[in-house]
Amino acid sequence: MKTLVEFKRYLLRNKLSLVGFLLVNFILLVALFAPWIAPSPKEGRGVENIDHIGFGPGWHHWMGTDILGRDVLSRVIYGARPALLIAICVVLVAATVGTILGLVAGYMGGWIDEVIMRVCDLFLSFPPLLLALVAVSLLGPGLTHAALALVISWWPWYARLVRGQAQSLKSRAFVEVASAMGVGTFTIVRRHIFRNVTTPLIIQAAADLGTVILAAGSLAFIGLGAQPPQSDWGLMVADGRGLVFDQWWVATFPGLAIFITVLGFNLLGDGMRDFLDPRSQK
Amino acid sequence: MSAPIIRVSNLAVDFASKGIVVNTPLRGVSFEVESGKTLGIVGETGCGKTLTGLSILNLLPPNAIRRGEIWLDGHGELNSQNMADVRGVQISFIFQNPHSAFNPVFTIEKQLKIVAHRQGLDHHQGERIIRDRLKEVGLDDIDRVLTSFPHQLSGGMLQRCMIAMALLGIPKLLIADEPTTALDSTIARQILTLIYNLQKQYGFALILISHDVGLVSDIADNIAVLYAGRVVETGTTNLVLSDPKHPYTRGLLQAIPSASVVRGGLTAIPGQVPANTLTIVGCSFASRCSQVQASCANDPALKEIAGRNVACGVVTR
Amino acid sequence: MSPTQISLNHVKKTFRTRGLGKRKEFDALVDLSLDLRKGEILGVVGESGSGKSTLGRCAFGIVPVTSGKVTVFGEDISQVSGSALRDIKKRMGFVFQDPIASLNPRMYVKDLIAEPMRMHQEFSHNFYERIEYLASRVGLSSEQLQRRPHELSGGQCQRVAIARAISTNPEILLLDEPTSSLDLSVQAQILNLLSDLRSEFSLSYLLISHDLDVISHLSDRTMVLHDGQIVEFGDTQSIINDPQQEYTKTLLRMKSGSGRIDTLGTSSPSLPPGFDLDMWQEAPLNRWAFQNVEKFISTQIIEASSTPAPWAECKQSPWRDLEISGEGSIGSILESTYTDALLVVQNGNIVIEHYENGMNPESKHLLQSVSKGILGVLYAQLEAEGLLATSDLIIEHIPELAGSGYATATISEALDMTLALNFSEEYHDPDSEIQQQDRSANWRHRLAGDVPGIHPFLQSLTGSGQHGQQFQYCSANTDLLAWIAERVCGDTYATILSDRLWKPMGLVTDSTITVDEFGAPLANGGISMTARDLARFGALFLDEGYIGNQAVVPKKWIAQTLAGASNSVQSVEYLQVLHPGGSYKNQWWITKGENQEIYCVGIYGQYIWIDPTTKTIIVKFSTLPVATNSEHSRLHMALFREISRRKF
Repeated sequence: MKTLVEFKRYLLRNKLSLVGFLLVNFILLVALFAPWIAPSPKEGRGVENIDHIGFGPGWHHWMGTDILGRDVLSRVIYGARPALLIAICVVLVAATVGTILGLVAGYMGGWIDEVIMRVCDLFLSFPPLLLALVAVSLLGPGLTHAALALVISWWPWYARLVRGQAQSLKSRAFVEVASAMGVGTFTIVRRHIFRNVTTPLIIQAAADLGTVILAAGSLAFIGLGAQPPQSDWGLMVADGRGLVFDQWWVATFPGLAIFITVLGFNLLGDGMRDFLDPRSQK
Repeated sequence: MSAPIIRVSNLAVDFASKGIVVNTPLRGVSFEVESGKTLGIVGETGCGKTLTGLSILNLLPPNAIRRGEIWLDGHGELNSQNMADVRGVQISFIFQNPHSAFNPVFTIEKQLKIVAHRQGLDHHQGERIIRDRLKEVGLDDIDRVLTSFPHQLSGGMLQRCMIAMALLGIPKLLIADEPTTALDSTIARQILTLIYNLQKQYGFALILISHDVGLVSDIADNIAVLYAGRVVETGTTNLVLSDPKHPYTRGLLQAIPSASVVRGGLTAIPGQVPANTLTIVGCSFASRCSQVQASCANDPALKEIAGRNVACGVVTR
Repeated sequence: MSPTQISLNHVKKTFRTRGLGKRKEFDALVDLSLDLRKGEILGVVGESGSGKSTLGRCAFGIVPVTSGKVTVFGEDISQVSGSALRDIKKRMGFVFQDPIASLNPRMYVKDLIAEPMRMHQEFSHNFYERIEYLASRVGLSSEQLQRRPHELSGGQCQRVAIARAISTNPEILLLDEPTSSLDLSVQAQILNLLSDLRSEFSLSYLLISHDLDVISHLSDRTMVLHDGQIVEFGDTQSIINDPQQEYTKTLLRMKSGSGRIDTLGTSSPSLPPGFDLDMWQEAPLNRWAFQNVEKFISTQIIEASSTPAPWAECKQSPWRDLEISGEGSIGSILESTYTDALLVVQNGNIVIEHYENGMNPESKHLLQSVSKGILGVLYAQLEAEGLLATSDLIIEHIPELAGSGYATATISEALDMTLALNFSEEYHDPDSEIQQQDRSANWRHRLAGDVPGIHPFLQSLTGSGQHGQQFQYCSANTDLLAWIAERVCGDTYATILSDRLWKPMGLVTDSTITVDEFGAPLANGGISMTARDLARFGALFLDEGYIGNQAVVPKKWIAQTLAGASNSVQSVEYLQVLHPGGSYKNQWWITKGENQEIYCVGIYGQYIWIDPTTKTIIVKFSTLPVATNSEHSRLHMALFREISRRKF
C-alpha cells in the first residue's frame, strides 16, 4: 500500500486528479457544514416561502428561488447530504456483500462458485429501474428504499470483480505455500486473498460513487427516490422540468451540482486507479 | 580468417526521463564477428547483454538513446535510414520465448508468408523457400505446421518455426537471445545443434546471448563476458573459459555447479550487481572483488593479457 | 540405516481434466516408490512434464494421491487431519521456484517469515528474537525485515522464503526448483546456504530440479524421473559417473556445457583444447583421438561375449632390444612408427604385449581400414548360411543403387575391390571422394553441397568403366557391403557383428563402430576395439576358421582367401612394389611371399598380420603423422616378417 505522502506527491503532479480530489473534498465539506453555510437553512430543509416565488438569480438569492419560493442555493447545499449519503451507503453495502460472496465463490470454486455466479447473473439481468419500481411498489417510495434497490443492482459487479481476482490469486505461489503450511482456509482468504484484492476494489468503489449519485438522481427524477419536501438534486431537477424555459435556474443549478459532483468522483477515481495500478509502479 | 561481417564500436544505451539521463545500462561495448563464426555474450541479469542485441537492431523503448557505431558489411554505418532495410533481412533476431514472436491469431503459414514478402520473394519462391526452411529446421509434418496456430505447437516446434522465419532470407548476422532457455535440456540441445548446422550450411555470423555459460561454451568460437554494461573479458571461448583472468569471470565460473566436475563448495561472489550504473565510480566490480586495490578507483580499459582482452587494473598475467 | 521420514509406496497420481463434455485423464505419476531418509538430500531430476513437481507435492501431502500410500513421519498422510496434521505440517518447510511470487506482496518480510510460527504458535516467548535470528542466519539484514517483497531482489526473496521454511524448526524441506529463477552467482549463494543449513540443522531435503548440475552438487541420492516413472534411482555420484539407463545418459549428454557441438550434436565432457573435427586424424590430435572416437563421433556398441574365454597365455621374454636386420631394434622401430600398441601371439602364446600413449589391454583403438577385414569374415558366414551369394548383383539387395556406379556390380567384385568407380583414395585431398565420404559420415565438418549420410553418398558415386577387370581400392565398397548385410540380416551392423562374431568368438571387451546421423555404420574404417580382441580374428586363419571348438567361418573360405585373387587383377603398381605377386581377396591382403602372409592395414599405421606358417598373429596400433607412406609400409613389413620368423 503506497503511503499518503506518495499520494499527495502524485496529486501535485497530476492536475486533473487534484481537481477531482479537491472537488470531492469540497462537496464533502458542503454536506457536512450545510446548516452553517446555507443562507436559509430552513428553506434548505424544505420549508416553503410563498412570498419569494419566482425570483431569479440575484443578490438575495444567488441561485434564485424555486416553485415554492425556497432559496435554490440553500437547497442545493442541503442536497449534497442525501447525495453523498446514498452514494457512500450503497457502495459500502454493495461492496461488502459483493466482496464476501466474490471471495467465497472465487476461492472455493466448484458448485458454490456456480451458484453464486448464477445468482449474480440473475440480478444483473434486471435493469436497476425495474428493481427500483419493484422495491417501491412493495415497500413504498423513499430514499432508503431507493438505496436498497441500488444495492441490489450493484453488488453483483463487486462479486464478479472480486471473484475474478480471487480465482487468479488462488493459484499464485504464495497462496499455495500458505495452504501447504496448513494455514486455515478462512485465514488464507483473509490474509492472502483479500489483502490483494483491496486495490481493484478501492478503485472500483471510488469510481462507483459518482455513478451511484447519477443513478440515485435518476430514480429521484422519476419519483422513485427521495420524496418532497426533501432537498434532493434529482428531485429538484424534476421539479424544475416544466420551468426550464422561464425559470431555468430551478433545474439548472441542481443539475450542475450533480455534474460537478460526479465529475469530481470520476476524476478522483481515475487518479486513484492510475496511482494504485501496479503497472505504474515500474 | 575472414573479414568481420559486423563491427560494433562503443555501443551504449542511456535511459532518459524528461531529457535527463537516469541510467546507462550499456556503457560502451565493442566487438566484431566474422561470417561463419559465433560470438557468445554472457552475463547475469542486468549486465546489458539483451540490450546489446536489441540495440544492434535499434529495437529499443522510446525513452532509450543509443550511442556508438554499428558497421555492417555491405551497408556501412547503420543509422535510422538504412536500418529499415537491414532489420529482418540482413540481421535476424531469435527471441527467448517463441510464443512472443508469433501473433496468436494468425497461422504459421500466414506469418511466414508475410516475412517472405518482406524479403522480396514472390509468391511461388516464397512458398518453396518456406517449405525448404521448415524441412531444414527438422520439422516433419510441414503441412500440419503451416496450418497450425502458434498455441497448437509445442515450445520446441515453435522455436524451430521461429528459426526458420529468421532464416527465410539468408541474413548476414543472426542474433539469438536466450534461444533455448525456455526449453527442456534435450530439446535445447537439438535446437542448438540445429542452429550450428544451419550456420555451417549458410555461413552467417551468429551472436548468441545467454546467461548460461555452459550453453555458450558448447557453440561459441569467441566469448565476451559482460558486467554492468561493459565487456570485462573477451577472447576465444576455450581460452577464456579454461583460464579466466578477470576476477568476475573467475568468480562466475567457480560459482557454477557441475555434474562433471566434483566440487566441494561453490564460491559465491558476494554482493549484488549494481542497480544503476550512473552511481558507479571506477571499476564496476570493485565492490565485490577480492583483489580490489587503490588503483581500482580508475575505470580500467580493456587490455590484452595472455591472448585475450581483460578490463582489469590489477591482473597482469 | 537412517530412519525414514517420508516414504511413498506404489504411488499413482492421475489428473482428470474436464474438457467440453469429454473427460481426459492424465497420469502424472505411475507407480512410484521412494523413501527420504533423515539427514539426506534426495534429488529428483526430470524434464518438464516428468511429474517431478507432482511428486514433491504428493510426498508432502499438499496434493492427495490417486492410489498408493504416502507415509510421513510414520503416519499415513491421507488418514491424518486436524491437530495431528498440523503437527506434521509444523515439521515441514517449503521453498518454491519463483521467489517473488511465493511471498504475499502485501506482507512485510518479518510477517512473512513469522507466518508459520504464528500459525503453530511456536516460539511465542521469544518471537522477535527468533525472527531476527532467522533473518541473520539466511543473510538478511534487520532493515530488510521491514520491507515488502517487491523491494528486494530475487535472491533476497528466496532467502526470505528459506527463513520462513525453517522458522518452525522443521525436519524436512520441499525445495522445488529453488534456484532456477536466479542468476548464476546468486544461485551459488543460495546453494551454499542450503547446504550449510542442512548440516547445521540436520535437515532432510527433497530437492526437485531440471538442472542436473544443481542436483548433482547437492544431492546424496538422485532419482531420475521421466513421464511419471522412475528411470534410475541411487547414489548421485554413481548415477552421474556410470549411468545405466539410456534416458539418464541422454540427460547427461544433452545438458548445456557438456561439450562442443558438432554437426551431430554429440558431445563429451572433455575434448582437448583446440580439437577440430577436420584435423583429428592428423598429428598431433590423432594421438588422443584414435582412442576416444566415441567422444566426438556418434558410435554404436558392438557387444562382447558375456562369457569371454581366455585363449592366449602370456609368455613374454625380453624383446625390446632384438634387432630387426638393417632397421634397428624393435624398441626403436616402435618409437619411430608412433606405436600405441603391439601384440604378438605365437602358437597361442602372447610373446610381446606392449602399450604406449595411455593404452592398456582394455583400451580400444580405432582400426581404420582394418575394419574391412572384419566385414570380410562376416561375409564368410553370410554366404555360408545362404543369406546371399557373392555372385549376386548388388542391386538385387539394394535396389536404390540402380542409378549409381554400382548398378552392374556383383558382391564379389565389391569384396575383392575390382569395381571401376570414380573414387579417389587420396587421403589428404579435400576434393577426393574419400574425404567427401568422411564428411558425409560426420568424420569431418560438412561443407555446403555435401551429401548427408553414408547411404546417400554411396548412391551418388558413378562408374568409370567395366567392373571386374582391375583392382581398385575403394573404401566405399565396404560400406556398401555393410548396407547389404543389414538388409539381409534385418538388424544393425553392430548387432550383426556382435551376434555372429563377437559373442561366438568369445571377445572380451565391447567394441564400437562409428555411425552417421541416420545410424548407418562406417564399416570401412570405423571400428574401435582392443588389440587382444582383434588378434582373435587372426586365430581364425590359423585354425581353419575355428575358435576353440566353435566353427566361426567355413574352412573353405579360409582356404579361398589365403589363395588370393586371380592373376588378372594383380596389376596395381604399389601393390607389386610392396609384395610382388600379392593380391587382395575378401577384404584381406595376401602377400604371396615366402610364408604367404595375410594381413589388413589401416591408415596411420594400423595392422593385423597373420603368418600361418609360423602361427604368428601380430596386431599393431599406431598414430603416424601421415596416412600412408611407402617408407613406413616397408618398415612395418620388415618388422612383422622378422618377428614372425623368430622363435620366441
